[in-house]
Amino acid sequence: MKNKIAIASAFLAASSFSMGEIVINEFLSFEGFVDSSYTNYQGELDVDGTPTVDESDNTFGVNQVEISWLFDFDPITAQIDLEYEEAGDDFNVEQAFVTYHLDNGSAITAGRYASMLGFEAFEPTGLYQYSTAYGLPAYASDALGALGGFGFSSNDAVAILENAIFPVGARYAQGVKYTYEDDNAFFGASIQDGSVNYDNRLGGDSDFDGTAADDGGYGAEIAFAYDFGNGVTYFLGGSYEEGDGVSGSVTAPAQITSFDTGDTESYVINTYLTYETGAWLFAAEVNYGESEFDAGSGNGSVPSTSFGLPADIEIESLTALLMANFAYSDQASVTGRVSYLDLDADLGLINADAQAFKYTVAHNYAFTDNLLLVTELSYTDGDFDSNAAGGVDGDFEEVLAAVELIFTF
Amino acid sequence: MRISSLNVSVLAVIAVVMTLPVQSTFADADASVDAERIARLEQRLSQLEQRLADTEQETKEVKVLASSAVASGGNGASVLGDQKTFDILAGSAWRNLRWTQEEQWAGIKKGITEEQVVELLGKAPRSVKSMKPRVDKVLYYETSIRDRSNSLRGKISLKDDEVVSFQKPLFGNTSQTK
Repeated sequence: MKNKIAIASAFLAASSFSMGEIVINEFLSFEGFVDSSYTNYQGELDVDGTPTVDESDNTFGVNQVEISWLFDFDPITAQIDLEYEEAGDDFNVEQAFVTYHLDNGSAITAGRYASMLGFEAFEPTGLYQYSTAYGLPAYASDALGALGGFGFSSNDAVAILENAIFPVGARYAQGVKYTYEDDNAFFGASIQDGSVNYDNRLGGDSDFDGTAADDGGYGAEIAFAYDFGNGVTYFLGGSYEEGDGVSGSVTAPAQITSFDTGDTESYVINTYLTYETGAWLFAAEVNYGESEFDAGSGNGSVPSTSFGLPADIEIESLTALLMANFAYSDQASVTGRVSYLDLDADLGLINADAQAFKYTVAHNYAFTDNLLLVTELSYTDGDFDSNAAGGVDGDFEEVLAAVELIFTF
Repeated sequence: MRISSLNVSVLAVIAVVMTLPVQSTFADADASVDAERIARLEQRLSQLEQRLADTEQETKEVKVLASSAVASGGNGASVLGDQKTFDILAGSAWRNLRWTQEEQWAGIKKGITEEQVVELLGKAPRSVKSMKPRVDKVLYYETSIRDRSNSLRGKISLKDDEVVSFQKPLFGNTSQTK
């Protein structure tokens, strides 16, 4: 089982040569996977001055099914990834891109494709664990509702804030990118419709007055990787995005029902180092990002807000991970991972910050080359505080247990 | 100037001397044209030889595959051995069958790269990104996934783009019918 190890990850984005596949004819082949799991989590949120909230739940089912269509019309290749995800219960075109390969190791890719940033793989087939290092606890709405006194529970708002807090992760964008690779180095640069918040447009402003959010923005991404040839690989990349604002619905507080932010701007720097020696793999990653949301409007009784707050929002996040994986046999490996979040949110009148550690141990057992059983136990422990009226401070923790079965073809 | 035998002789000598370089030039041009023709012929001969070699190779591979199917006791025999073989050849005429030659596997050894494997055996009909921790990718060289009776099944495991283990097809079962 392989994660998107350093340089290889970037290389795979530009070349289909190393992919597993069922060859249908010389132009077309397929690959894919089925991912199913059972998870159980127990979370606890303790906000000072309020009763402790305990949450517990489990999930069981097929999380994701993906089939990739791989086309090869040398020197042009193309890939279409069709996926079903239980979350949302729908089918998506995850990726669809065409690549023109030049003779000197360069390639031009256009379409919808995965971000080049991040150590961890975007698909379960490439992870060493069930969960990813970065992300909100399962009871995110409650945690965010308490954090900084937001006081709302909204999938839109949670998703937007989660993007700002964790700007590196499984992301796909539409655009054009140039990549170059040789035996040791990789370079990529992409102009795209967004990198954190935006999609389906490339800049511009569709609104008459230019003040309300119209989801128009653009992003750019750049990546460099180098394989030192001694088991060490190094990656450095970043992304930048700006746009005319994002919008969404809010279920609470009651005085507003939806929100439009003003202009937004985000950037992230991502760097990681991997070292593979014998049966061991070590990885270290650091991400730093900032996102700014200008005050926009709330379509309720709050006239000028950003997420219902009458001020601009600035979010800084520092995330990092340390991971070690040891393959103790031809079929099994164990993984230990520690990941960290340091969040600082400037909400105008309110400042809030949060810190959290996530500790993960996982075991992988491959029955065959095609079938993998992953078991994981992780523990997240964090705290937050703010200078909101009355003070909204507290802490949270979560224990997650998961058993996952992955079939690949 | 009066016409005399001396004058005629002098003029003849002058004419011959003046003509010689021209004749030499024509001769050089002819030689150059001949050389080009010979080069083209040699190039064409080389191409024809290559085509002949390719055709002979394909014929051998088809024979091996057909005989393999016969040896495996497949049903629905046709001129190519059995229906499965025919289907493979008809539906996958593109497929590179170098891997069906036992001698091609002689070059397969631990440590060689995937590119070298493909050079020796052709592109694998099937491959998978392995879930095993010490294997990145497995190349399957087989005529049919589900036909367990077919002995032509090879498997190559790669780690960091190098062969770490491999399993050759059982050519012994087919060599008698080659």
